[in-house]
Amino acid sequence: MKASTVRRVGGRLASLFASLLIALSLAFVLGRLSGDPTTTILGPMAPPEQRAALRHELGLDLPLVVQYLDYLKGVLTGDLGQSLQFYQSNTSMIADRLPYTLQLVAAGMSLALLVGVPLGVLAATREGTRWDRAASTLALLGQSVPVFWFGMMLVVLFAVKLGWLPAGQSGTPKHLVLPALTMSVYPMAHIARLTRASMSEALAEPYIDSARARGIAGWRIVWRHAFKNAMMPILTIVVLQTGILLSGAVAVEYVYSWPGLGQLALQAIQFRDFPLVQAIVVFGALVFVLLNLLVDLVHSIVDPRVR
Amino acid sequence: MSELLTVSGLTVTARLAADDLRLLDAVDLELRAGQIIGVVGESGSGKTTLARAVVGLLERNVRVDQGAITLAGQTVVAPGVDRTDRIRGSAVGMVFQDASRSLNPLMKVRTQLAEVLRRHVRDITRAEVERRSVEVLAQMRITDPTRVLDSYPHQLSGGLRQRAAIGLAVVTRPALVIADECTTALDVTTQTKVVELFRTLVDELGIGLLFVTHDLMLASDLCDRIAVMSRGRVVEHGDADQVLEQPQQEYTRRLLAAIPSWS
Amino acid sequence: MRAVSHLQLDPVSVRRASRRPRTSVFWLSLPLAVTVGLVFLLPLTGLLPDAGQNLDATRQPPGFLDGGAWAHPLGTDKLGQDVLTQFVSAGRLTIVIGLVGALVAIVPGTLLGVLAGYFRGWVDRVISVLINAQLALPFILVALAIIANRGSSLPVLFLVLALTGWAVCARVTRSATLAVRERQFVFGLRAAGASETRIVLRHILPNLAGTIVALGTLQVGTAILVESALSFLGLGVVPPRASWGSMLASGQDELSQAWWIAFFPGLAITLLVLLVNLLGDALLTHHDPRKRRR
Repeated sequence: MKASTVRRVGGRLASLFASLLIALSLAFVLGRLSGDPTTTILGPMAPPEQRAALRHELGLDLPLVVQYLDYLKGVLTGDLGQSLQFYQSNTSMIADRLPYTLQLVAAGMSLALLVGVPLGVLAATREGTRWDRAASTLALLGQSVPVFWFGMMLVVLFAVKLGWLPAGQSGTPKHLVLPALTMSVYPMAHIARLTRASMSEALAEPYIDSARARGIAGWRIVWRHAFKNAMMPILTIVVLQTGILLSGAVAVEYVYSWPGLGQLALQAIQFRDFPLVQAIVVFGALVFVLLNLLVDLVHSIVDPRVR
Repeated sequence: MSELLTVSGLTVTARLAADDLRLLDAVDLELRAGQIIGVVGESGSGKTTLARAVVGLLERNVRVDQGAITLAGQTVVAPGVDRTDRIRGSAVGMVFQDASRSLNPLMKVRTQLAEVLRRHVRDITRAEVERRSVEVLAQMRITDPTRVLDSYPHQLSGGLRQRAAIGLAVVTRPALVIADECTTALDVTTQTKVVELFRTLVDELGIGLLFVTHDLMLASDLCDRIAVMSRGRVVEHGDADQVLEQPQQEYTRRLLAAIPSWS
Repeated sequence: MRAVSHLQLDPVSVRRASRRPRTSVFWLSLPLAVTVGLVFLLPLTGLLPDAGQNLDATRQPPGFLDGGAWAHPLGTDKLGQDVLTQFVSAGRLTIVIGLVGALVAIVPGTLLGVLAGYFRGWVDRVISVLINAQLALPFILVALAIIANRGSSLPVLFLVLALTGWAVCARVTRSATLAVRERQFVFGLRAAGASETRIVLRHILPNLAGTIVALGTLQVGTAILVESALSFLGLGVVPPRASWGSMLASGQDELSQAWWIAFFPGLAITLLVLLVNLLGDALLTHHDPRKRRR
């Protein structure tokens, strides 16, 4: 490995680490700003001695710095605290809900890729034509529609009017269809737009003309030469969108009563269960940083120039 | 000896939103095997359009109105006719201006050579691909062909990249090679070497070379014949010495006068 | 037909000239202006149906559907209130939130972006880390946490919109500033002894104006979408106020009986945001020569 590579990787890691630390601190501050949790647990009428005892039990009587360090230590060891509402470890609750969200995100993201990438490539290879305008407008529409509303209308059409698919809950593959479709709208639009931009840039590169001049033609030019070069931004957005959806699919899960992380977050907020809110935010930030590292790793595999 | 490439009365128009724009106006040109013709002109004179017309790489909104291009007696381009897909990369090879950008940055030189060979040589074996790849790089006067084959473009120097790009254009043993401003991005030393390389390739392999450049001096060093282009027309066409010593046209005289050592 | 002239005739310029999209900013602004005008002026005309409850006419379908009456063009809700009247007044709040929400994100975002891009060094490093940290947090969760903390109100909503929107604005302005900063005239000004403040205020900012306006336009769309999501979850605009997003929340319970309550506000949000996005894209294309080609 070259010295410049080491320096670059080091810098990247340092900046990711700094971002993570700030995100973690912010989550901590948000948790502390939330007022006295003993009120939530014991109710407003509880006697002060009982509160003090609980505060001691929760470690809230310790200096803030100690609490903060404890919190960081917890994050490092995978202990994200206890839920006020469920009297359970936050980590285990997140672990329970994660498979549902993963299922939804995986299905939605696959759909988004399967439609978004060809749509973007179609637009880029026919730049300036009616196809391009149609595909681009469709993509922009996908970024303009409130996805949960789109989900509600799918429910009206396919569950209420036609009765083809269930309106909510989870379990069978049939239950997954509408939520996954809803989930895919925004990333699909994003991927399509980015693919178009990135592909149109790649197709204008001199090496594409050169490859054509060597008699390479058709799909080989589009996929092997242009798409491979256009792939990095697309991949980045796919991975980052996945990160956002993993913890941020609140509205979609709410529409379909899908028992994933988003629902858990909503419950936590409605019951002012701040340790749980904080844990989910921390989880989201960790996922994001890990996925960022994944992007860097894949980038170095695809592109020999950044090895 | 019969002509390898004949361009006769070629007229090419770009259809723009506002207006039509004539890029080439009744261009005539001949080139024999083993000969080098220099196409010289300022930017916008139509020389690049001419080069790209031969391999069928014109933009979508650009159309051939009149005239024809024939290669070894076969018409490849005429109004409504485009058979360039049969010759592109096989009978005609093309080298572009910027070698560092005309190689795919994500593919090793080996892969790019293999891709071209597999595309154009039917049923070629793996060993044959390897043999011809090494051979062509050796022809490019590259001393360590295997290292270059195993490199990605960014790992090579500018000169090596340009040689690899030329190698890619000639590995299928085309009869005609088109070089479009392929020395412009190089420093003077490398430029000289590339020009020498072209001369030996033409002499050894008997190919015809269409050498597009804005550099009249360079063209005079390398070429047997020179065509001077301006505003989409060939304004002067003849033996290199004749064009340089006794320019017939005012435009050529002005081009010559612009070269410090010439006036 | 023109003859070949001094024009640059390299293939790239030929391609560009033929493909430049002619999306007119005017034709996109017109329907937006009409929408805003209608939403603000219709209530003054007295043409809208009465806003009161009418328990004899609950869940009436829109006028153009079977069983509907034109007295209530978009139907009625479960209390017999006219949907169109609600829709118009909710639209006002939605548009106001979109505009103010964009403003509160764009002002600090631009400021920080320009500071980072112009002064570089440690200022840039601190701001960049903040931007990345903000982008690393799942924003909807942050929004939810803040709202859970502070309760739902318009100031909190604007705080959330500012916190979730500034980072994107800052990132774009930062790179735009970096580009302007490297231009020749800035070196000239500095060599001539112009003060940094003057360079930033009089020369850098005006050069970024186009980009900032475009960003702000796109941010209006984002603000409306974020607001609608939060209000839908009952965490943004809450009764007695109503926005298109909160209409979706009340429509959610009625989906099986009265789908039109949720349908029209959602459609309105979609079209409004689509127009705003198209306008933003057109403005961005207009001001970014690099993007003009696409």
